Amino acid sequence: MSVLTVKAIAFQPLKQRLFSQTPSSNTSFEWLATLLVQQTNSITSKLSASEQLKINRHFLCSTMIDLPFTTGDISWSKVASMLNQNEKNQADTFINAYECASWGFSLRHYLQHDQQNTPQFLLVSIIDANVFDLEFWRYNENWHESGFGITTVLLEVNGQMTDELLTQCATTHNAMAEFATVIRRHAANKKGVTLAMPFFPEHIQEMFNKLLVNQTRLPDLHAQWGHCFGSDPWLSILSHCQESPILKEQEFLACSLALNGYFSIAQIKVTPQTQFILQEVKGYE
Amino acid sequence: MSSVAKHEYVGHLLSVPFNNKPSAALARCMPLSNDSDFAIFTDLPCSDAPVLINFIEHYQILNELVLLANELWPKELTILIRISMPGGMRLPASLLANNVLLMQDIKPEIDKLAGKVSHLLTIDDNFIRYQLEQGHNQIAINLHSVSNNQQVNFSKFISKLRHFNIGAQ
Repeated sequence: MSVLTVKAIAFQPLKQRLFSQTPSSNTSFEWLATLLVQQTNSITSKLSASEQLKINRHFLCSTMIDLPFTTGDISWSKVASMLNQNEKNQADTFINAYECASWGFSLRHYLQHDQQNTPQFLLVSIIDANVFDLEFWRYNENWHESGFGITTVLLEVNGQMTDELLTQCATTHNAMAEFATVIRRHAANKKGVTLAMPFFPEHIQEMFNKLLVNQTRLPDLHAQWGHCFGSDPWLSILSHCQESPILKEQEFLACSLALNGYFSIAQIKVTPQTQFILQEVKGYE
Repeated sequence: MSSVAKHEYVGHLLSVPFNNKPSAALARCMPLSNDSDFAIFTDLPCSDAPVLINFIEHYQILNELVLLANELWPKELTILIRISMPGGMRLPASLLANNVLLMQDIKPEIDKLAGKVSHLLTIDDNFIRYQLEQGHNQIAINLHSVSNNQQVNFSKFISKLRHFNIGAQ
């Protein structure tokens, strides 16, 4: 069984068009930071005091929020201070270089440097919001409709990792087929593991249908949510377990692929006690 | 925390990094589709520093620096690199290796790791690859080491920068 247990998954869907008129980056990020803090608190408030003390890190990842930082319109230190004002366990590290696979590379880094012998908790949040309302991010030929939102996953690490986490990069130009092939090979040795895949339009789903025909996969929710970048596998697990609550421990492979070919695959365990929180869709009022 | 010896370097990209070699513009800016897109881009801040480098050359420099660092500090090295996104192209394998973390802002991680790992190398550059990026073509390289005999290795590492026309202004 995996030593990575999902204690909670929360998803805050965001409107594709967030604002009636685009505000300053400062205003946008103050609002987004408030949502992220509320989401984090909604998860941590259900933990006991001793469990809360086990939370060691909180990474914030993104695929498509880069322009406000690249241009210097806002800085990470400013956003971090918005998040951490008088609040515990908020994100203090921002990683977007690995695009949709950023959550897995964050986890890899954490496990290399912070792993101790005692069970410990880790928060990973994923935020994708069209803060400048750019058309490129609403619809793209690579993944069609985009879906936006904030996801927070609380993980417990309990024991020594073996092959629970794969973080790699495709070596060919057909990253999608290579990604599916690696998943197939990896899942072949893991009985009873269900795949939670990224959401893609039908023509890509058909490729997965062929390449992953022998694996159990959760339904693709692209028609409902669009492609929600790194959030997809977590939203997939959340939706499935809310619809059909699990009665005993179940294992999933959470899989994300970035446009540039980076991918993260994590074998995680969901238990009947795992919290699932699906929030109402929000836009900036 | 162990006592930490810190070695520091600050330099600038003084001209194009590879002399007498043609270089593609490769602006890699996303397509703009409507009036709002153009208006947003018009209002974004931009640097007045010259664009001396493209994405391919930037990744080539980082790749060579990481490979050299791995030779100088074999096994016990952790590297933090500031990378501005969008990357525009696939990163070299050396930058995706498990002793490297790529971040928008490396400072919070330095505070966590300095003194906790044997050698922490940080590369924090603001080389402008297209006009919307912020900075002045500067680079800061630091080594936080738990052993205090790393000056020779650090000097060897820094001497590599001259090959890319990086130096004091």
